[in-house]
Formats: sequence, structure tokens, C-alpha cells
Amino acid sequence: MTSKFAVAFSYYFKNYYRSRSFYLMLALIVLITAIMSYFSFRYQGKIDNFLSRFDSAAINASLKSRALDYIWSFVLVDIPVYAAVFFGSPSISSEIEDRTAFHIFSLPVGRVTILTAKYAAAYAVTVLISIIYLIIEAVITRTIYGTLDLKAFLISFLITLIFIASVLAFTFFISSIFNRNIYAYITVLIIYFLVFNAVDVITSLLYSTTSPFLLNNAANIIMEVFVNINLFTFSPTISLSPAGTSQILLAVAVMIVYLAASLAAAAILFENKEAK
Amino acid sequence: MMEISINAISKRYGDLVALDHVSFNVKGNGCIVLLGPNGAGKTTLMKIMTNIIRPSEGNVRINGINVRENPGKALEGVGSLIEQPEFYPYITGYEALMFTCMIRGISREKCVSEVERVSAMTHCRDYLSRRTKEYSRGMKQRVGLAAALIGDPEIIILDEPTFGLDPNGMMEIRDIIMKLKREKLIVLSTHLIYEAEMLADQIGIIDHGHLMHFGPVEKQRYLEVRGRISESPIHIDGVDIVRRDDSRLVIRKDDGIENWSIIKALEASGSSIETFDYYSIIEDLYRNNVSQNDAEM
Repeated sequence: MTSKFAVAFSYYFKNYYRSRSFYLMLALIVLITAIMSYFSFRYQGKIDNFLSRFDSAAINASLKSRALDYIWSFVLVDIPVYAAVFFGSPSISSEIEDRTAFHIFSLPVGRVTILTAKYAAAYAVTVLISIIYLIIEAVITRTIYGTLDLKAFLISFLITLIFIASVLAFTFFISSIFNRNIYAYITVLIIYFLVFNAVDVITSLLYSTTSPFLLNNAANIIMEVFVNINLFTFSPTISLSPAGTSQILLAVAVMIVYLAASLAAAAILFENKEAK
Repeated sequence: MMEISINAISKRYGDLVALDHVSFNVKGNGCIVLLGPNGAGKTTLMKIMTNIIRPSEGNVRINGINVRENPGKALEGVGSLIEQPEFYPYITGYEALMFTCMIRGISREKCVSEVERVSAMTHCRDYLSRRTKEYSRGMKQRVGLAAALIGDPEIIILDEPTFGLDPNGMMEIRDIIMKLKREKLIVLSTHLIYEAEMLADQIGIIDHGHLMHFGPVEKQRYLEVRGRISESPIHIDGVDIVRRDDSRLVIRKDDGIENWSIIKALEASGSSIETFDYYSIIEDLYRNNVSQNDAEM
């Protein structure tokens, strides 16, 4: 017999992939991918100029392909964030605002099952959207330079999957605090793009280092596994080598902490949620 | 087993007391109607019964299982329709019913026939293939009722089930409830006295969060007699006078006493009877138990 989790997952997955949010994200991804593809072909010569600023002796096809992947990943790190805002921010608050909780809460199924099934469904659609971008990224890099650093690409891909899980969990947590979708949307955007950046700027100024505990900084590892350049802070790191293992593990650990803490908090809040 | 125990349930929102130590126990088949004005606490009580909200104090046990502690188990045999139902917008009514059925642990094959059964019963089959965001209020109400009946639950909790329906729809739903209550325990809320009269076997009257009255409805025991009522004292064995004036008499009779024998005795005492009919005791109960401002709403 199909488990309650599987039944709920399939139900939520249908509701997500048929939603306007999904088709809007899909359209945006197609547009962004088209723009990135165009500029990759149009301005491939600029990669050499970019790399020669750091070390012109090290330039070869492999480095150039990693540099192109770095540029593609520069955009990729924000895709899960926007997808999470679309799919995750209203995930719990909408149950109250749209009054669907009256039906769902009264069914003989645990709320944690509902939460995890909904989370898994949102994760699946976000991965689906991100994969489109990643596949095109690999195809374009391979087409232009005749090579793709498969190891770096796979590591970047796996970290993207973990990042999607953590940023989505974070939006679920924020959503479970509120009973109105708009508050959840705004709060997620403010925390991720304003609060995190403000904290990062302050710690950079005070301690001349990035804040590794911030999720947006941890996400940069998705790019840095290709070339270890981070120009976002007041203490930039510049290396044409890929990020080291310790750097990767630290970023992944941060993501997993966000994932676990956010899901646990969301589960507690959802368990005690009331549809008044 | 069909049993619901409401044990000293209170619900507070800050200073507002939505329910204040409400207790009652119901067992076996029949229809329990919770009657009260808007905002009395009926829906709050039903939400606590179905785990949508948590009580501030007290507990609800369904078939002996505490809803708060083990909602999955307690609500296994319970179907419910609370407030006006809403479903996820991008799924069809059919998918919503299949989900409701399968989440109850019923196999997909059985669910197909189960959805067929309940949708035929509630007359919502024609639009089940449409997405729920396209539904009118009445359509949602019918699909919501179908969802409450799916899996043939032994206990059904319905919060104003005829709300939003046209007159035909209201009659159909009441007919369904009349049939179901022969085998199931139904708890239903309404603020319509005639609906309560039609459906109730037991009635609970709630006002300002207090359970003012709870007990069986003795529908067939009350008669309202109209005509010229004699001024002389009336003594009929097994009959009590509840209300009396020159042109109207309300009486309560014991089991086994025929209406015609009462009329005959009244006419023998000098009264001239024009009409008689069963009397709505629920309306009396309501007026006696609900504060006047609310009762006039």
C-alpha cells in the first residue's frame, strides 16, 4: 500500500508543477539560459582577458572551461533562491491564508508527514528547474571549449542540490512563522538579500574576513569549485585553482546546519499551527 | 464503536474566551446538532474535535483516543467538513478526493470506486475533472462533503454543511444526513433552527463559549394546539401544560398517548380546537438559553 508520505508528495508535486509560479520560473530559466548562451558564444574572447589579469601563463582550455562554468554558476547561485521564494515562502502560510488547512489538518495524517511531503515536492520542482540551467551550462562549455571539468561540475552540481535543500528549508521555516504569504515572501527576501549582506559587510569590515556561517556566502562555493575567486567582500580571495576540500566541507556543513535547523523549527511551528 | 467525549474544553485567545469548560459525551448513531448564534463557539469546538486548533484546557477523545495526543489514530474513522472547504487550486476535485481517500490508507483501486460512490451521493461528479480554483462556493461545499464521506467514516463532523448551497442542494444534503444518521454518529453545527429540528436527535446549545443546554430532542412529545382555549383547569393524564393563553396551548405528552385523545379531552373541557401540530421545542430551548440580543440576530 502506498505510504501516506508518497500519497501527499504526489498530490503536492502536481499542485506545484501545474502552478503559475512553476511556469513563471520555467520561463525565467529559459530566458536566463538563452541570454547566458548568447553571451558565452558572443564574448568567449573576454574569458582570456579576464584570466590573464590573474595569471596569463596558466591559461589553457581546461581553465577557460572552468572559468566559463564559474561565470554560469555566478547566476546559478541565485536561481534556487528565487525558486525557493516562489515555492517555499507561501508553503505553510498559504495553508492558513487560503484556508486549505481546514481540510488537511483534519485528515488522519501527521503534520510532519504533510510538511516533509510538501517540502520534498517543492524540492523536486526546484531541482527540476535548476537542472535545466545546469545541463545547458555543461553543453555550452563543452561546445565552446571542447572540454568540461567533469569532477568540478559534478561537485558544483551536488553542492547545488544541497544548497537547494537548505535554502528551501529556510523559506519553509519563515513561512511557518506567518499566516500570510506576503509577510513570508518579504521576510525571506529581506533576510537573504539585506540582513545576510549587511552582516557580511559588517564582519568583513570589522574582522577582514567573510562570514562563513551565512548561507549566501556558503552558496558561493558552487562557483568556487571551478575557480576560487570571491570578489564579493572587502577581503577578496583570488585563485585560479578550484576551492580546497576544507573550504567545500565548511560550506556544505553550513548548508546542512541551515537545512536541519530550519526543518526542525518549521516542523515544531507547523505542528503547533492553528487555523483559527 | 462510535463515541465522542468532550472533556472540559476551554479555548482562549488572549482575553477572549471562545469556549469555557464545555463537556458532553455522545455514543452510538444519531445526529447531534450544535446550535448557537454566530460567534458562539460552535466552529471552535468542531475545530478542536478535528485537530485544526488545540484546546487551551481539556481534551477531546474519539473512540477513547485523545485527539491532541494521537490525531492520526483518533481521526482515522472521522470525516469532517469544517467551515467552507478550500482545496489546493491546481488539482482537480477528483484528485482532491483520491488524495483524501488514499491518505486514509485505502488502496488506489478501492479509492476509484469510493470516489465514484461519494461523488454520486453528493452530486458533484459532473465537475470533478475541473481544477478546484474554478469551483463556485456551492461546488466546493459539495466536494467538501464528498471528502467528509469518503472511506465511509463512522463519525462525521459537519460545520454548517448546507452553507452556500441553493435550496435544492440544501434539501439534498439534509436527506443525505437523515440517511447517514441511521448508522453513523454525526455532529453538525448550524444556526438554522428548522435545520436543527429536522436533523437533531440530541441538541447542544452554545452561547458565548458556554454549553447552555445539552440533551435529547423529544420532537414528537410537544404539541401546539390553537383555537379557543377554555379558562377552566385542564387535567389530562400524562400531559403537562407548557404554555397557555386564550388561543394557544403548548403541551408535553408522555409516550403512548395519542393526539386525538388529547384533543377529545380538551374539547370535553370546553375548548374549541381549530388546529394542532407538533411544536418546536428547539426554538424554546434556544430562546431560553441564548442571550436575547443574540437570539434576535
